[in-house]
Amino acid sequence: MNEFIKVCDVEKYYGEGNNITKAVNRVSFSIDHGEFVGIMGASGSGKSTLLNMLSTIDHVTAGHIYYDGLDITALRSEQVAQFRKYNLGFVFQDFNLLDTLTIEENIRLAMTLHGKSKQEIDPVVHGMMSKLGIAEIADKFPYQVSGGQKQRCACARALVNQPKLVLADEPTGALDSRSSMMLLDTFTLMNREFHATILMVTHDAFSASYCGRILFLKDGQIFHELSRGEKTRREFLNQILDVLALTGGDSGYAD
Amino acid sequence: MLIRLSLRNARRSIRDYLIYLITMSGVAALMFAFDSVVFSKDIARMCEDASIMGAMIGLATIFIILIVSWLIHYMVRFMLEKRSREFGTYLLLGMDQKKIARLYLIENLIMGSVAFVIGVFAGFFLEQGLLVLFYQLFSKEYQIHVGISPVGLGVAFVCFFACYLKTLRKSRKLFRNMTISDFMRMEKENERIKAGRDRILQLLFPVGILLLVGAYVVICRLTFSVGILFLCLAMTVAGIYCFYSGLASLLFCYLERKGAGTYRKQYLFILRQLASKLRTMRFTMGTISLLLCVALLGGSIAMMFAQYQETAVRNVLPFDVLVYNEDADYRFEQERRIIEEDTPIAGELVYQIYHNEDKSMIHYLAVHNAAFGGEYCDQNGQLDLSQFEKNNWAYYDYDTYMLEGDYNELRNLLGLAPITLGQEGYAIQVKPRVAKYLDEEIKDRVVEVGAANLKPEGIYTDDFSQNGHNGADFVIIVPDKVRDELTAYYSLYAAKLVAEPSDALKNKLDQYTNGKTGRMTEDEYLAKLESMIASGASVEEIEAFEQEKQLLVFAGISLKATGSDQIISLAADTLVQKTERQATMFAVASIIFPIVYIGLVFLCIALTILAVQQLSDSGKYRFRFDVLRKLGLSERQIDGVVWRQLLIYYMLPALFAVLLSSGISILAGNKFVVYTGASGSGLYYYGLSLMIFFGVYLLYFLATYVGFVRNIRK
Repeated sequence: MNEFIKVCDVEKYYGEGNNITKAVNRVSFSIDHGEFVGIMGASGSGKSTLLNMLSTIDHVTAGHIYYDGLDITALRSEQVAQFRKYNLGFVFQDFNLLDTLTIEENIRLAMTLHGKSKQEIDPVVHGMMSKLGIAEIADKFPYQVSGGQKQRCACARALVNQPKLVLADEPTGALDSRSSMMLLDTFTLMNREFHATILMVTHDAFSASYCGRILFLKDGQIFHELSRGEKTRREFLNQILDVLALTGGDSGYAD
Repeated sequence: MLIRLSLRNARRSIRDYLIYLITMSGVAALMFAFDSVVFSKDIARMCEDASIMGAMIGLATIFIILIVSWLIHYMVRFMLEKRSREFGTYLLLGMDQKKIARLYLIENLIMGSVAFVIGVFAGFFLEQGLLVLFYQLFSKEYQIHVGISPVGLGVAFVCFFACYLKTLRKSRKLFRNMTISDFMRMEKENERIKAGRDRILQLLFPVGILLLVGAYVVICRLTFSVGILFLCLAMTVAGIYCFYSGLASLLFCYLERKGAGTYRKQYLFILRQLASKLRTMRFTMGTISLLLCVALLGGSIAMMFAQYQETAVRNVLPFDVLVYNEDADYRFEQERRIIEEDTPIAGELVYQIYHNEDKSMIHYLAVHNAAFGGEYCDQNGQLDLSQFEKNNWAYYDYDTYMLEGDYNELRNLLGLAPITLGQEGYAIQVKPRVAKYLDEEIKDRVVEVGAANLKPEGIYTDDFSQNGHNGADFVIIVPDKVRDELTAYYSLYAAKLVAEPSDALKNKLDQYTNGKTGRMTEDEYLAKLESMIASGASVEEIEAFEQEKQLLVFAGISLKATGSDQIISLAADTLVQKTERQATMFAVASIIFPIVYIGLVFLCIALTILAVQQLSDSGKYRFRFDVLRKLGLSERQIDGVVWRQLLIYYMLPALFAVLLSSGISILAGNKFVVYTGASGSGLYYYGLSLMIFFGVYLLYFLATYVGFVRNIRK
């Protein structure tokens, strides 16, 4: 097996005494290199908490997370920062672009922080921008461009350092349907062309249908798993909607 | 409801803008303390010149009110921008503009009142400290007394809230014309980075530097006049604003050009932060630099005078009592009686100063003493005799001589070892400041007295009362045997007392001298003038009377020369050390206190704006640093970015102010040493002032850093 990430019995509790909330309850799964995995669930199902632990932003209460055999739950904070810097790329619902930097600079900063030289940086940044269709807005500031463009900028930033894993938290949450489709196409492109491993958290069935595999989370536990296999996207979407209908989740697209 | 909401908002604002509150409390404390001291009855009783200090503090207060108003104006606008969305929501909920304006007004007044109350409390202790200092100046024991001066409190109250009134009225106008969408937009406005005509505007940077250098060159090169001073001031102010506007654009162009620095680790982030901050704050930064510059200059000047105070009295008046009389044969019998009645005499001497109709020394000094700044020189640097004889105010008509025996007795009174001159020798007793200007030409010359040719045997620079008493700037010591060859010039009486004399001694001696010489006190002079006018004296008569008496009345001296000390010169016929010391100290304190007052307030206000700017943005920064964290920066690296960002931001106006003020301060300090003979140098005074400056700076910087890091970690 080409296993990349292995999550073993991870738990996350909040609160203390009698007032404990189990946000994530003994979750285990694994992800292979080059996979595009979705995590679905209603609000409060623990999907964002799980993502935060996978992305080292939050600590686990119990359990282990291995990246290529490295247990990231045992790293010290300096090591965690280093790990994050060299292995992970992020795409968030609210873009998380720096408002004082231009689109190009937002992407460039990710590379200068790695200590790369101008000669290395410029071609990669420009190539990435033209591939994602944001080259013409390079010198604009985030407030001057559309939400879709911002999100593509965030994708470019997540990819420039060729991270082992791209983590996306509700990336289409703030976009209209056309921009969402463009972004998801971008994700597919990133997955196929750049062989990026992508882990996307979403509550939206349409977005999830772009994934290769989906984990369904409910009350902090994985209760179902779907693989796309050779199915068309439409078929896969229907399958997802069926699962959601069973759990009383998002069924807007079923009608 | 309005009051409750205002109270709650004020409480929140106090928490959010704690540094602002602390500074306003500090300002209130300073106002209260200084006003209370100025209007204190004790001080008025202790010193007749208290009104001078009052006037100086009053003048300082005007500047302070102006600047504090600016701070309040700035903060009111700043808080309004930060909370614009909240005000928009009030409007949305149906509150009208007037009500919101009133809400905001009450909030600010509550904050002001809290600051004032804390300030008065702190100011009470400060006042006690100032009073202790004052009493020490006058060598009296101060009993701490609990009680708040109502006049001081009233004046401070009026001044403090006067600062608020104007600004808050303005902000009401602001509210009146705002719509909901304006409020909603206002918050976004902060984040907007306007792409301007940077390529042209960056030229302002070199223009600014040129203006500043130009101003410095003009003030160094040209002779001083009010017109030039204003020209330099205008050039400096314009230069500062150009510098900051240009710097912001320069940075923007650099970023646009993708300069090499933007590819170095976190520097892209730091440079962008700085550029956008400078863009929105260029005028504020300019003003802050100016304030800091004034604070530094003030500190330097205060240090100069404080140092001068240390040395001046000791230089001028090592003797307990010294009395001059123009009559060379005067015996000072009545004066001695008056002193004896006041305090027993431990040692005394009646002696004479002589001349030899020689003018070599005064002519030499007229050329070489830097205090005259070449006033008596012709184009070739030689003595312009007619100019000197016409305008000489510092020296007697002839070189002054003293006999060795008298000199040694005086040294004995001062506890100094006697000197021994050879049969054919002479020595020079000179002020330390003036000794610097004596070169071989004058040090090695032979002095002819009658048939004797006296050779130089030494130069003495002990403190020796040489403002017209024991010579003006210098006296030549000659062996007693040549006495008959010299002409007696004037007479002196020096005494050493067993204990400190009473405060009244100087007055008693003056009254006696006035009665004898026909001089008048100021009151007598004014009364006489009034009676002349009432009796219909002609203009010529009145002018003649004025010319005859005015100098005597106001300068209080009949000394023919006073030496070359300037700025503060201690010269009077009768000198009583204790009284002169107090008068000097008070005069110096009248200069130092207001300057320190202004300097401190300016410094704190500038630093408050710097701190508030950074701290209130930390919400926005929290997000930015969060992004950096996700991009893989460790906590330590983020602390490093914060540290660098704050350091650049704090150091920019500080370095600017240091550069700007150092030249002027050192120049002025060196001139001060030349004119007054105080010890030290311009650099020394400036260094002291700089230490205090950066001490306060460090406090604010650390407070900001700690607050900032805490805020982004929340």
